[in-house]
Amino acid sequence: MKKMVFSVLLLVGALAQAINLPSSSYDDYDRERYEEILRRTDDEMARAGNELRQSEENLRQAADRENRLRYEYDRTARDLQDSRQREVEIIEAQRQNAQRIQEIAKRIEEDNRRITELEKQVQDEKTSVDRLKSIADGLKGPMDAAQAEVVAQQQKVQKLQQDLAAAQPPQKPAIQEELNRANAELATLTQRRDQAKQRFDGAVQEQKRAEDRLRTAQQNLAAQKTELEKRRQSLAQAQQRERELAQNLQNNRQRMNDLNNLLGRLDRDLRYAISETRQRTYERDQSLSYFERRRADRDQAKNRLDQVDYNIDLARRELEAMATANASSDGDREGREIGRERGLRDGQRNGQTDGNAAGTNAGKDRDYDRGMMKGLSDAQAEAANPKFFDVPAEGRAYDRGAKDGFAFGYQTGTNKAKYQEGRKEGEANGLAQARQDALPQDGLGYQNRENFYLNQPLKQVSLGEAQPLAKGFNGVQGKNSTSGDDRYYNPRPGSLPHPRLTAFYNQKYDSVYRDQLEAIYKTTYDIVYKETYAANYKSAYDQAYAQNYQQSYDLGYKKAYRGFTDGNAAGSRKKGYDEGFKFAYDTNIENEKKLAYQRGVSRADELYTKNAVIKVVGMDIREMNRDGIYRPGETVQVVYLIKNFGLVGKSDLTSVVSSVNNTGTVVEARAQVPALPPQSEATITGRQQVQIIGAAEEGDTLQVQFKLEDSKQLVAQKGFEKTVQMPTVIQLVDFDGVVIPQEKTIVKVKATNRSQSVQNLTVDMIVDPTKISLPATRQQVVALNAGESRTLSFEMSGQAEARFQESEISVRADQGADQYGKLKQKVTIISRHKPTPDGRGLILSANLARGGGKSLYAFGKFDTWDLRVDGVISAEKLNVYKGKIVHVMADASAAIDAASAQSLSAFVQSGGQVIIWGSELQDSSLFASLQSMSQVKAQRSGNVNTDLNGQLQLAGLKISVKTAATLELLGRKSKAVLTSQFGTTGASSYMSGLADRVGRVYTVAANTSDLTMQSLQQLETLVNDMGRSYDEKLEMAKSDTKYLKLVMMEMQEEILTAELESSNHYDNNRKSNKITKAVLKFIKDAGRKSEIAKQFAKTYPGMMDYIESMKKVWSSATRASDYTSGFMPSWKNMFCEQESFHQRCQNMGG
Amino acid sequence: MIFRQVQLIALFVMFTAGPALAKSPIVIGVLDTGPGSSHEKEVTQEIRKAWATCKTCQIKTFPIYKPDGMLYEEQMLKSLDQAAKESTFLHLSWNTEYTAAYSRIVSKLNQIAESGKLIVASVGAPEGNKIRGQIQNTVMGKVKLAILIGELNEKNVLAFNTYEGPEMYKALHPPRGKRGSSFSAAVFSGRLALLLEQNPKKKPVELLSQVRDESPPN
Repeated sequence: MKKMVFSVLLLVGALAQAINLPSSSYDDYDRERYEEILRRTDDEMARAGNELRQSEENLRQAADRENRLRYEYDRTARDLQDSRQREVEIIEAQRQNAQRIQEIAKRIEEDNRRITELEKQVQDEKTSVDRLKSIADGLKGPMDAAQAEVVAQQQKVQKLQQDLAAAQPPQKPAIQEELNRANAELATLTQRRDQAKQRFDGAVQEQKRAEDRLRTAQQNLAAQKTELEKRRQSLAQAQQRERELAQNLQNNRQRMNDLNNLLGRLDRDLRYAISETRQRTYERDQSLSYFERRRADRDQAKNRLDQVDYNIDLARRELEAMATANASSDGDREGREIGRERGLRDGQRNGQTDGNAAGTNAGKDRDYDRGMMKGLSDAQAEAANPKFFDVPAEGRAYDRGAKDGFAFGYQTGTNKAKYQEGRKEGEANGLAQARQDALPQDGLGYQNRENFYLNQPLKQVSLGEAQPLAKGFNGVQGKNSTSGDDRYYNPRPGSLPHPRLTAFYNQKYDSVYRDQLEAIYKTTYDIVYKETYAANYKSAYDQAYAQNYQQSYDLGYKKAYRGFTDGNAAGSRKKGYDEGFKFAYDTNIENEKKLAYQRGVSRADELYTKNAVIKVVGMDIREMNRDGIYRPGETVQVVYLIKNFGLVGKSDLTSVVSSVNNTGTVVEARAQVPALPPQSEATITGRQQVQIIGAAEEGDTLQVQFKLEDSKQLVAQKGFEKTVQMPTVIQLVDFDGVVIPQEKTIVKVKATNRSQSVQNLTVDMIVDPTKISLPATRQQVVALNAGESRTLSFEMSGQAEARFQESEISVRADQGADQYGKLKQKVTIISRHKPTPDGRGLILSANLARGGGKSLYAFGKFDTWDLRVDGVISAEKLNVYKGKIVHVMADASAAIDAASAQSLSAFVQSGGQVIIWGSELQDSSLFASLQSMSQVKAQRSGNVNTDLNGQLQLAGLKISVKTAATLELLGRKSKAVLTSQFGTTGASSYMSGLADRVGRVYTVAANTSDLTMQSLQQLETLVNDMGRSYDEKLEMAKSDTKYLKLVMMEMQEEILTAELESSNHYDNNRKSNKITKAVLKFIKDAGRKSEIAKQFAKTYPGMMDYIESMKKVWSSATRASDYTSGFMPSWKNMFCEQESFHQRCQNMGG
Repeated sequence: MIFRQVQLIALFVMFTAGPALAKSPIVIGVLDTGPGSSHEKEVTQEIRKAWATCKTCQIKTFPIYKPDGMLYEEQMLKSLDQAAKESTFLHLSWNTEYTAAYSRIVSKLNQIAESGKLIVASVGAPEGNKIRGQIQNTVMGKVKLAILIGELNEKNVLAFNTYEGPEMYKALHPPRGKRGSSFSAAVFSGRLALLLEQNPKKKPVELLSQVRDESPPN
C-alpha cells in the first residue's frame, strides 16, 4: 500500500514537473464565464450604440430643422427685399405710363384738328369738281352741233363730187364751182368744230385734275382717321396699364406685409431650433461618451476572453504533447504485445501447415533419383525375370525405366509372355484396322446409338451453393492481450485546474493511443508473423522432410524397376504386335467390314458410358433482385442450363466472364462450376457477378461475354446485351417548365413501376434554393405494384431575385440505398403578366428567360408577357399599352402563336407602337411570323461593334452595339431609320397613314443588352412622340417648330397611303386631310407672320417634290397644299414670299 | 452521424406508420454461427440474462453457417428470410469486412430493414494484421437502418480491436467475464425485449432511445 501511494505521489510530481501550464487557476480557463461577460458587455455596447444612433438621429433632425429654417428665413428676407424693389419699379412704371397718357392725349387732339382741315379740303375739291363738270357739260353741246354741221357739209361735198363725175362737161364747171364753195364752207365748219372740241377737252382735263385732288384729300383724311384710332387704342391700353400698375402696387404692398409677418415667425422658430440643436448636441455627446465606456468594457471583456483562449490553447498544446507522449508509449506497448501475440498465433499456425506440406514433398523427392537409377540397373539385369511391385505407375523414374525398357524389349523381345500378348493384340488391332476401313458403315451405327443416349431421361439435380463466402467463424470479440486487456491504456491526466483541460488530455490520449496501437500492432504483427511463420515453416518442413525421404528412395527404386520391366514388356509386346497386326489385317480385313455397323454402336457406347458429354442448352444473365430491370448499380450473374448425357460426372468446368464495354464491372473473372453428375441436367448460377456501374444511364447497353470451359477446351460461350433501365419511370405531369416567382406552382411527379416487383420509394426533389423555394422535398410511395403509377404533388415557388433565370430541378426515387428512378428538368422562373398603370410598356416574348427581355427589364418598370406563362395575348390586353410601347423580343425566343401575332397586328393597326428587338433576326421564327406586319426581312448578322445612327423619325438617336443584322425593306411603307457601316439595321413601317393615330412597327436589329439607359430613353421619347395623334403633333409643332418633322412625316405617310390604297382620299376629305389641316393650323390660325408659318413654308418645295413623285394623287394632293378658302395666303404663297426666285415661284406672274 | 440520425428517423417513421405488432410473444431472431455452436449458446444465454424478468420473451435461432463451418450465400439468405418472418426483431452477432460477394446479403438485409423489421447487430472486429476498421466497410455497415452496437472496455472507452465509426448506435459494456461486441449487442437486444414486454403498445423502434439512454446493467 505504501508503495502504491509513493508511486502516485511520484507520478503527480512528475506530471507537475512535466507540464508548463500558463496558470493554475480555474478562473483562467473558465471560458464560459468570460463568454458570458463578453456577451453581456456586447449587449450593453449594442444598447449604447442604439442610444448613440438615436441621439445622432435626433441631432441630425434638429440640425436639419435649423438649416431648413435658416434657409426659409434667408429666402423670405430675399423675397421681402425683392418686393421692396418691385414697389419702386411699379411706382416708376406708373409715372412713365401717366406721362405717356398725356402725350397720347395731346396727339389725339392734334389729329382731330388735322382731320377737320382735311374734311374742309375735301369739301372744297368736291365743289371744284362739280363746277368744272358743269362747264364741260356746257361745252359739249356746241361741239356736237359743229360736228353735225361738218358731217352734213361732208355729205354735200361728197354729193357734189359724185355729180361732177357724172355730169356732162358743160355742167361740170358749175358743179365744180359749187363744189369749191362747198369745200370752202366745209373747211370753215371744220375749223369751228375743232375749236369747240378743244374747249371741251380743256374743261374735261381740268375736271379730272380736280377729281385727283379730291381723291388725295380723301385718302389723307382716311389715313388720319386710322392714325387717330390707333392713338385712341394706345390711350386705352395705357389707361388699362395704369389700372394694372395700381393693382400690382396694392398686391405688392400686401405681400410685403405678409413677408414681414412670416419673417418674424421664422426668426422666432429659428431661435427655438438653434436652442434645440444645442440640446441635441449635448445629448449626443453624452451618448457618445457612454458608448465609448461600454466599448471599453467590451474590449476589456474580449481581451480577457482572448487571454483565456490563449491560456486554453497553450494548455491544450502542453497537455496534448504530454498525452501524445504518454499515449504513444502506452499504445506502443499494447500494440507490441498484442501484435506479437497474434503474430505468433497466426504465424505458428500457418507456418506449420505450409512447412509440413512443403517438407513432405521435398523429402519425397530427395532420394527418388538415386532409387530410380538403382531400380533401372536391377531391372535390366533381371529383365527376363520381372518382379512386380505394388507401386503406382506414374513418375519420373517410371518414365525413364519405361523408355529404356521399351527399346530393349522391342529389340530383343525378351519378355516372351508380353511378346505373345502383343502378338495377340496386334492381331486384334490388325483386325481393328481392317474394321476401320469399313467405317462408312460405322457412322450410322454410331448415330443411332448416340440418339439412344441423347434421348435418355435426365435426372434433375441441384448443385447447391457454388462457393462458401467464408470459412469458420471466430466470433466478433474484440479481445486483445490475453494477459490483461488494454492494460496499458492509462490516460493519467493528473490534477488539472479545469475539466476542459482534462478533456483535452483524455481526447488526445485516446486518439494517439489508438493510432499508435494500430501502427505498432500492424508492424509487430507482420514482423512476428513473418518470423514465426518462417520458424514454424522450417521446423515443420524439416520434420516432414526427414520423415519422407527414405520412403522416397524406395519409391524411386520401385518405380524405375517397374518402369523398365513394363517398358521391356511393352517393347516385346510391340514387336509381337507389329508382327501380329500384319498377319491379322491381311487375314481379316474383308471379313471385318461386315461388322462396321456394330463397331459404330460400340463407339457410341464407349463415349457415353465412359465420359461426361456436356451440352449447354441455355445460357442467360439475371439481375439479382429478379424484378426484370437491369438497374444502374445492380449486380447481374450468369445462369447456365447444362445437360450431361454421359454416364460419367463432370467436375472441371470453369465459367469465365468479361465485360465488353465500360457499362459493367466484373467482380470475379473466373469461377469453378460445381460438379455435374452423370446423365443429369442442372441450372447453374455462376459465382461471377457483373455490377452495372452506378453512373450508367437509362438506355445504355450492358455488354457481357460469358464462356464455359473445361480443363481442355471451350464448352460454350455467349455474349449478352441488356438495356439498362431505371425500375421506376419518373415523369412530370402537365408541367410546362415554368415556375412563378413568389407564387405557388404545383409540380406533379408521376412515378411508374416498370419492374415486376413491388416498390417502396422515397421520392426526393432537388432544387437550387437560391432560385426556387421548395418547402417539402421528400415524399414516400409505399407498395407501388408492378405497372402501377402514383402521382405526387410538390409545391414550389420561384425566388423573387431569380426572375428571368433558368434553373434545373432533379427528381430521384430511391428504394433503400438504391436509386430506382431519376429525372432532370430545366425550368424558368417567370412572373405572370400583371398590368401596372405607371409601367413603361410591355415586354412580349415567347421565352423571357432567353433573349433580351431581362436586359430591358433591368432598365425600369416594365410589364411582361411570356407566351408560355400567360398564354395567347389578346388585342384587349394589348390595348392597355396604347400610348406606350410594346417591346417584342425576337432573338433566341420560341415562335409566336398565330393568335398572338394577329393580336399584335391588330394593335398596330389601331395605332399601337411596337419595337421588335434582336440581333439575329434572320434565324428568329418569331420574327418570321411578324414579317408581314413589320414589312422588313432580316438578311444576315455579324459582329459590328459600331454605332447605329437614327434617321428620319429617330434622327439623333445613337446606339452602340456589338452585333446586328442587316434588314431589307419589303414595302414602300417601310423606311430605314437606323443605319450603320454595316448597313440598314433598323426600320420602321406603318399601317395606315390615313388614320389620325398611326401604328408603327420599329424593327431594331440589335440586342437590348447593348442598350444604354440614355439610348433607351431617347428611343422611347422618339417612338412615343411618333405615336401621338395628328392633332397633338400639330399643337406640338405650333409650340415648338422642332416637332414640325413629325407632322411632315405623317403627311408623307398619308400621301403614300392614299397613293397605294385610296387615291380619292384628298377629294373626299378636302378639309380634313392632313395637308389641309397643317396649312390651316400653321398659316391661318398661327398667322402668316408667326414663326411656325415661316418654318412650315420652307417645307413646301420638299413636300411638293414628294407629291409629284406620286402618280395617282399628285393632282389632288397639290390642290390640298394650295388650300386658301377664306384666307390668304396659301402654303405656296407663304413660301414664295420668302423665296420669290425659287423655280416653284416662277409662274406667279411677277 | 447526421446521416445516420436521418436514417433512424426514417426508420421511426416507417415503424410508426406500419401495422401494430402482435402483443405476444416477443421473439428475438438470433442469427449467429451454428447451429448449436458455443458462441451461439453464449450469446443467447446473455440475451436471456439481460431480459431478466421477461415472461413472454423468446429466442429463435437461425444459423447462418452450415455444420461444416462454411458460410453460404443461399443459406444466409434463407435464414434471414425466415428470421424476418418469425421474429419480432433480428439480432445478428455477426459482421465481417464487405466484399462484392456479400452484395445480395446486404440487399436482403436492407430490404428487411426497410420493410420495418428492426435489426440489432454487433459491430464486430477486424482480423489479421488489422486492429482497427471502419464500420462503413463492413457488411452490417452497408445496412443503413441497422442498429449497430459496439463494445466498451474496462477503461470505459470503445474497445480497441473493433470496427468503429459514426454508424455505431451505442457502445455498451459486455456482461462481466465476456469480451466482444456480440455480447454488448446481446445486452442491448435483451433490454429491448424486456421493454417491449413492459410497453406492449410500443414498437421496437420507439424504445430504442430508452435502451440507449439507460445505464448498462453491469
